[in-house]
Amino acid sequence: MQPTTIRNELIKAARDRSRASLDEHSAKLVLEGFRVSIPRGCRVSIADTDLAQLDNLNPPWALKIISPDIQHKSDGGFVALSLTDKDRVRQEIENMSGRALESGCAVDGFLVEEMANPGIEIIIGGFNDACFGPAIMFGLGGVFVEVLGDVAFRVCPINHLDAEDMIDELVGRRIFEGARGGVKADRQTLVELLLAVGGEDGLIVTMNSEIEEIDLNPIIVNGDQATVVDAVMILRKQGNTS
Amino acid sequence: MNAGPSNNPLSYFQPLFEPQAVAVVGASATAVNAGNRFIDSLIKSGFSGDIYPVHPKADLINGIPAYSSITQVPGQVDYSFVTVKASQVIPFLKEARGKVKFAQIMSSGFGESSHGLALEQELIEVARESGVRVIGPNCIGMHSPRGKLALIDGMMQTGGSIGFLSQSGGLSIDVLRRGKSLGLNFSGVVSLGNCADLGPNDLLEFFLADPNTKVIGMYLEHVRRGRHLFEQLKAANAKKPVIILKGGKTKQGQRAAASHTGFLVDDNRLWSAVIRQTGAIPADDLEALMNYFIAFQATDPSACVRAENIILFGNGGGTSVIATDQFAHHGLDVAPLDEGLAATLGNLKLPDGASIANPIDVPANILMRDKGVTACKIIDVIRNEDTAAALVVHLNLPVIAGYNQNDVITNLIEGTIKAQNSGSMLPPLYLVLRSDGDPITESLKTQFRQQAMNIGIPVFDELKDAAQVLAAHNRFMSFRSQRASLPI
Repeated sequence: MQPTTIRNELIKAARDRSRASLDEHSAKLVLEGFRVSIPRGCRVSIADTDLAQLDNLNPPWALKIISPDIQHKSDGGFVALSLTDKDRVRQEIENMSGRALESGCAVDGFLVEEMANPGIEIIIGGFNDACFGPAIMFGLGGVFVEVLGDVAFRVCPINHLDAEDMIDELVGRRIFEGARGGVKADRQTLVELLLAVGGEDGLIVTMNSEIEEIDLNPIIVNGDQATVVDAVMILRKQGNTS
Repeated sequence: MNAGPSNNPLSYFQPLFEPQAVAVVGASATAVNAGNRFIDSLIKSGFSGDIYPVHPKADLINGIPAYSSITQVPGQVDYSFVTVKASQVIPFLKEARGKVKFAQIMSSGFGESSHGLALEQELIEVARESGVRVIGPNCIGMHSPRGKLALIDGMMQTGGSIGFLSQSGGLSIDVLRRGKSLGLNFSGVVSLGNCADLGPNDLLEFFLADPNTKVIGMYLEHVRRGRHLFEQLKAANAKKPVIILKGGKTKQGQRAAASHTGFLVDDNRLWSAVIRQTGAIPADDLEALMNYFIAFQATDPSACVRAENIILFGNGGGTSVIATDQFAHHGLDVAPLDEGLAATLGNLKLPDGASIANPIDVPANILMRDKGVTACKIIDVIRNEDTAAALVVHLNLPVIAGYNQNDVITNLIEGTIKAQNSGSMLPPLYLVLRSDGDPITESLKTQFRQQAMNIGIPVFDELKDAAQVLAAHNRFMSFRSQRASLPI
C-alpha cells in the first residue's frame, strides 16, 4: 500500500473511534511512510497467547501497552524492557492489561519491538504555532531538553541549511561528535531526519491539516542509524483545519 | 477585503508616501491641535499639493479654506490625516468612500483597550466596505521626505535610505529624533498603531520594493499574519537588511505589551527562528537598532565582503585590549597583521610608543603629530593593503581635545575620504568616537560625528557597538552568500 493510503486509513480509524491521537503503533507506521526508521515490531492482542509474530523479531524485546487512556506509559509501569522469551511477554501482557482494566483504561493491544541499540537520545517535536503556522523543534534528549531547555525551533518547511543550522544552534552539539569518547551521531543522518519531519515533503507540512502536534521522544541515534523509539501524534480537532 | 499592494507596492503606496491631495480631518478652528500642527508642518516643509481642512463649521483652518465634510472636497484625496474623536471616525470613513485612498487615524479609543474592541471591529468592516485603506487607529503619523510629510513638526530632512515602521508611535518619534542627532536620513517612517487594516506586512512590502530604501527597521509588538511575514522575508532572500526589534518578548514584556497596544504576544523562540531562517537582523533595544541603521546606511551590502579579521587602530592601550576581547566575543578576530602590511607600516617609521601590531595603538601625542597626517598615513596604508578586513578607528576625544587642535579630526576625516575614494573594494571603515560626557567633548563629538556621517563613515559611541554591528553585518553577508542561490 502507498504511504498516503496507509496514513489516511490510520487517521480515519482513529477518528472513527473518536481518538484524540494516533496510537504509538499507528504513529510509527506514519513515520515509516516518511522514510523515518522505527524499531522492527508487531502489534499483538491480549488474546494472542501464541505470539507467533515474535518469531520474526530478534530479542531482546520491548513491550508497551497500547491504550488511549494511558499517556505516560513508562511512569505507570506499562513498558517492559529487555524481554528475551515469550513466557515473560505473556506474563507482562497479563499483568499490564489487568492493571489497566482495573483502573478503567481501555486496552487496544500491545506493541512488541526489537530494542534499539544504545546511542544519543534526541527529541523532535512538531506543532502549529498560532502566529507562524507549522513549526519544528529539535533538541538533545534527557537533561539537555528538560533542565537546560537546549532546543532549536524553526518554522516549517525547513531546508537543509536550516537543518544544519538547527544542529549548530544546540549548546550540546559536540555530543554529536562523540564528546568524551561516546558514540557519534552522523550529521547527514540528523539533517535527513529533520527534513523527513520538517522539510517541504516532510511529515509536519504534509499532514498539517490532520496532525496538531507530534512528539518523537526519544529518537536514538548511533552513527548513521536513527530510530524513533516513542512517538506521539495528536490529531487536529475536527472542523479546525485553519 | 481590499485589493492588496502585492502586485505593485510602489504605485499602490505612492499616494501615501507622495500625496498630491491631503485632507486634514479634525483640525481646530480656535485652538492648536495635532491636525493644525500637521497643516503647519506641511506648509513649512514646502508641500506643493492641495490641502483640504475638513471642519463642520469653520470657513478657514490655518488660513486655508475648509470644507464641511469630506464629501465636499473637490476631487480625489490621496491621504487623510484624521484626529477626530473615536465616535466620529466611522461616520468619516463611510463618507470617504470612493474619495480617499489612505486615511491615517490618530484617534485612540479602539482596540488598544478592551472597551474599544467592538468599535475597532466596526472600523475594519467599514474600511473594507468603503475601500479606504486605514493606517492606525491610535497612531501618530507619517514621515515621508519624498512627499514632504513630517512626523515631527518642522523636522523635515532630505530623503534618506532608512525605512522604519513601528507599532509604537512614541518609538517612531524616538527613532526620528535620535536619528537626526546621529546623522541618519529616512526614506520613510510609518507609525502603524493598532494595525486594524494595513499592518507591518504591507509596509514591509513597500520598503522592500522601494528603490530609495536600503535598510528596513521594524518595531513589532504583535503580528497578526506572522506566517505571511515569514514568507515575505524568506522570499526577499535578504536583498535588503531588515532589522527587527520585537517588543513583548519576556513574560513581563508581554504583560506590558498587552496593556500598551492591547494584543497578545507571540512566542519569542519562534521569532528567533524566523530571524535565523530569513537573514533578518535582531535588535534587542533601541540603541542596537540605531547602531544597525548607522552601519547599513553607510554600506552597500552588495559591495561588501565578510570581515572576520578586524584591524583596530586608535589611542588607548587598555581600551584596545578590552575591545579585542569584545570583538572575540562576537566571533571577530583582531589578528596579527600580515607581513606585507606590517612591513609597509614599519616603513612609516613611527616614533617609539606606537605599537604597529594589531591592535594598532598610537598614543595621542603621535596621533596629533603633523596635525594628524601620521594617522592619515596609517589609515591609508591599511585600507589599501588589506582588502579582507574591516578597519575600526577609535579616538578617545577628551585626550585629543586636550591638544586644542580640532583640525586634526578634520584632517583625519579628509584623509579617510581620500582613502575611501582611492579604491573600490576597500574594507568597511568604522569610526568610534569615545567621550567622557564632558560638554566640551560632547560638542566636539557631535561636530565630528556629523562630518564623518555626511561622507558615509559610520560613527559609533563605543567599540563594543562596532563589534556588535560588524558581527551582525557578517552574519547577514554569510546568509546572503550561503542562501542567495537557494530556491525560495
